[in-house]
Amino acid sequence: MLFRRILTYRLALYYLAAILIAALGLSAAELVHQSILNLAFSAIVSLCVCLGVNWAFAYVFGADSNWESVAISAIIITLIITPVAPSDLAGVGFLGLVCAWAMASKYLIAIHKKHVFNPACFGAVLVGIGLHRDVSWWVGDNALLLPVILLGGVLILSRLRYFEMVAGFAVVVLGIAIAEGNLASIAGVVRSLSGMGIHSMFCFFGMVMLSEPRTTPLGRGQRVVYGALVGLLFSPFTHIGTYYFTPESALVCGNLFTFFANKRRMKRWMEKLGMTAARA
Amino acid sequence: MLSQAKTHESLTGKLLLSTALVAVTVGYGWWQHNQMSRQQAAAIAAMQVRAAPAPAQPQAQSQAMAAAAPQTATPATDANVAQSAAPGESAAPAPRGSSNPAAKSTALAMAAPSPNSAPAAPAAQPKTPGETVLLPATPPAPIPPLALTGMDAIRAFIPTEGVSPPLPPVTSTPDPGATPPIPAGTHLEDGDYESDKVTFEWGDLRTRILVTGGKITTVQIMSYPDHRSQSLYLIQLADPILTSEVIKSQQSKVDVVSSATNTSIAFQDAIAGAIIKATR
Repeated sequence: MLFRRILTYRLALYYLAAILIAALGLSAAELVHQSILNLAFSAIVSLCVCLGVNWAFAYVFGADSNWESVAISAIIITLIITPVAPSDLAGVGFLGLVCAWAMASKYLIAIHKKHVFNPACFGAVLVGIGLHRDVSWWVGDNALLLPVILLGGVLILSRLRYFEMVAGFAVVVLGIAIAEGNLASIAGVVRSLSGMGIHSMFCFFGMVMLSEPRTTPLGRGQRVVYGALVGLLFSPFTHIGTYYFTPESALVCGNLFTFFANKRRMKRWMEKLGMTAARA
Repeated sequence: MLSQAKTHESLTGKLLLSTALVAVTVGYGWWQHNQMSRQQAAAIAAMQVRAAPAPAQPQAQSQAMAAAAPQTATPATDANVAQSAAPGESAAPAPRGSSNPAAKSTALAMAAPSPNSAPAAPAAQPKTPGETVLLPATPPAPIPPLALTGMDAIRAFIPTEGVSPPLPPVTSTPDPGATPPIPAGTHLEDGDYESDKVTFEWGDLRTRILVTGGKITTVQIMSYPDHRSQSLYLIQLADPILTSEVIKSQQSKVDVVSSATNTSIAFQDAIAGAIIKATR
């Protein structure tokens, strides 16, 4: 009953906070190789930058902002960018810029007051391309964090009823991993599955990033296609020419699919464009 | 994210804030570019200083450099240094197992320790028997990308497959009593052996071992996944630990490095392949 009364945003915030606290605990126990000081510093920087930039944009755009959404983005960015030391100015700058652009994207790239892209991924892609740096998704390759990620993920998915979307994503990603791996033996298949399923950002990405309600298609069928499309681009083997997708760029492409797949939103957007053109 | 419009919505504010964000991003990018250019220039200058007396004192070459090409004692010439130092050339594929002296010299020059190769430097020094290697490792400082301009910068922006130079070879002393896991009645024949390509989720990995006196004395990672910066980070993290562990234990089955699980397993397979090739 209590679970049903908690708002989805708040539930997601508790979930991510639990992952962050677990990561801090494991860092303190030296079970993950990130320094606890760096992790705490990154979390504070992310939170401060996200809250500050969000407040500024909300002010000039005359909008109400949801602090829980801001905190969610800040924690996600903390969990996907390798924690930086206070003395690493380049790293701190990168972290701050990703946070700033993530918040800015909620206002600058919004159609009908709804952001088009997952903020954290958009910030990571934009700053990553501009400054030639990738985010590390360090939270992914820590099997000890997996129980927290899975348990909270199941709660979020049961609230949002997005199981079929994540299933579509999982089938495509794991299917490609198996097909590209060693098919000659059971051990080879198991290794492909464990390599992708346990020792990569697969679970975190599927449970946390993919299931953001604002950037997910409305219909069940579209959600399955969305999950499968992101899974296809997420797969390490997928590339266009010499360009290999990163998880964040895969999700941004999926967000574009969501935008174009929403006929009602597209129609309103086209009408608005037409009105603007007529005025001009 | 956005909801009801309020009275303080301001077009000037929007423009100012967006411009400020762009300006900060561009400023950070410019600063980072300058930092990298300075580091690169310092590294090249240091390499030139080290390489200059080499023709006069060929016997003074480092152990690592000698191990990289046991059959060809080609002294490093200015031309070779220039080849490795030129920014545009460092991305050129180094021929695997090539007998071309010039190509080998390029690999030698790259194998020479530089201020930028901080993660590999400690492992390149022989470890005393019985010394323990702590896992997980301290994350290595990222090697700054080359400062490129013009078409070189455009080419470098496009990810390419398998063009990164081999990692520096690691030479160490095996633990007393450590024996290779080979069938009774066989032995490892002295020589230089390169494994077949091992394909895993994030790309291909190939290693090389140097057998001296029936023991593995040098291990080098010849090619590795380099499509994404995260892959490069992980290989830098795992390389010093894995290579020194193989030499100490004379086994391919060494401890997996935390956060680089898939890379470690692929490395184990590649070393096992090279050991099989060396077994007579």
